[in-house]
Amino acid sequence: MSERDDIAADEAAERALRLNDGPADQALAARAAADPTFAADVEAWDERLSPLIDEIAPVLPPAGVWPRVEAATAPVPANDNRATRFWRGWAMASTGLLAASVAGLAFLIANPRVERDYIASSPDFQPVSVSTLMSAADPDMPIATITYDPQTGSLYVAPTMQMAMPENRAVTLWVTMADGSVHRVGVIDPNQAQMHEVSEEMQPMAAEAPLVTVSLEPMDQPNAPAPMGPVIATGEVRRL
Amino acid sequence: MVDSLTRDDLAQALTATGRGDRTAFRRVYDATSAKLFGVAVRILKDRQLAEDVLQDVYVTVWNRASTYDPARAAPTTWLATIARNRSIDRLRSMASRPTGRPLDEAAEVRDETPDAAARLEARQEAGRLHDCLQVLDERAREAIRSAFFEGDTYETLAERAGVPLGTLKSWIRRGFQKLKGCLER
Repeated sequence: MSERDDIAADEAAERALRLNDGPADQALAARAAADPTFAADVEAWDERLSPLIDEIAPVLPPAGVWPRVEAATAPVPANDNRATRFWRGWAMASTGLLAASVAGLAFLIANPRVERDYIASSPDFQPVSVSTLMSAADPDMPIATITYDPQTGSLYVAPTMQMAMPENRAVTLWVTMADGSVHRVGVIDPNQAQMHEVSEEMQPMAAEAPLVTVSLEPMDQPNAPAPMGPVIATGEVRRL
Repeated sequence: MVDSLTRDDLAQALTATGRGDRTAFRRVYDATSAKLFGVAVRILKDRQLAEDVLQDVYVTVWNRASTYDPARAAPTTWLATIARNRSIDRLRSMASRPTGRPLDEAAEVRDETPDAAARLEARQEAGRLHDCLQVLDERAREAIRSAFFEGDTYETLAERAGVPLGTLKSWIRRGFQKLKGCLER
């Protein structure tokens, strides 16, 4: 086995065990998503280590969990789509306390054409980086595209699917730096395309961050230094 | 109540779930939720957080069951990997380690009913892994076990062991090679 093969084998085991944190772990996850051979190596390690699960004692979950799972995965009307189900799932999944808020969810459609039209009408906006945010619940499902222009500090957010807002939660955007540190950019609106002005303090980080994350945060903790609520989407940043 | 399913039954129920069979989905939940909740409680050490993660796990199972291939993974491995990864995702999304119900206390509420998922694991395989882990250097063995059960990273393990990160990585990587070699013999 070559040294390169050894490294690949180590990385597959590292991904299975989740030994790396932050961008390094995300990079291995992205590689597994793109490289079937590497994904198979990771799965092989999952299988090798799986007997350890036997050592974990089962714990009976509360009876209330199943009804929430059932509601979050319930069939949707024919005129709805998978995206609606996803957001309803997240509204439910974020916490059991939010279950009562589901009846109040409102769904809006974000037309991707809006993104193109908006950018076309903003000649000063010259994005140099872009990130497609993929659902944490379904890595194949994009939920929004983010573009950033470091010259102006303008950040453009374009939801790509129907979304719903759970009550008392702020949809919050974060950047993760190469050193693993996480920084709050601000609250975004999941229901429409929008432009934000990134604060001067955040602009250098927004320009360099390799990873962006969206989480659902409690409304009463607007200045939390790191995500407290569930992460609902992540995306790697590409330079244009 | 934990339903009793053989490994093949569980694989079939998971496959049927992927076709949208909600009765099969409920069977999967009944047969495995106690084990997967145990995984989440073990890693997160907080029952409320573990409940949230468990719900997320089964929403993910519902959405991804169509991709499950019985020829590639045992159903328990596939499910436990989702539960473990989701728990670690949640753990690392938090600013600091939760200080909820400690592990020993959580264990007091363990389900004492027969655990179908555990029975489904091949005892021989479990014994083999155990034997091969014993072949490893103790430091590598404990680090690998700690990473698996607690979701610890290289950095955390190095800090705890009081050794440089590179040293810790060398221990574990040598452990991987020995473990793989032993399991393939």
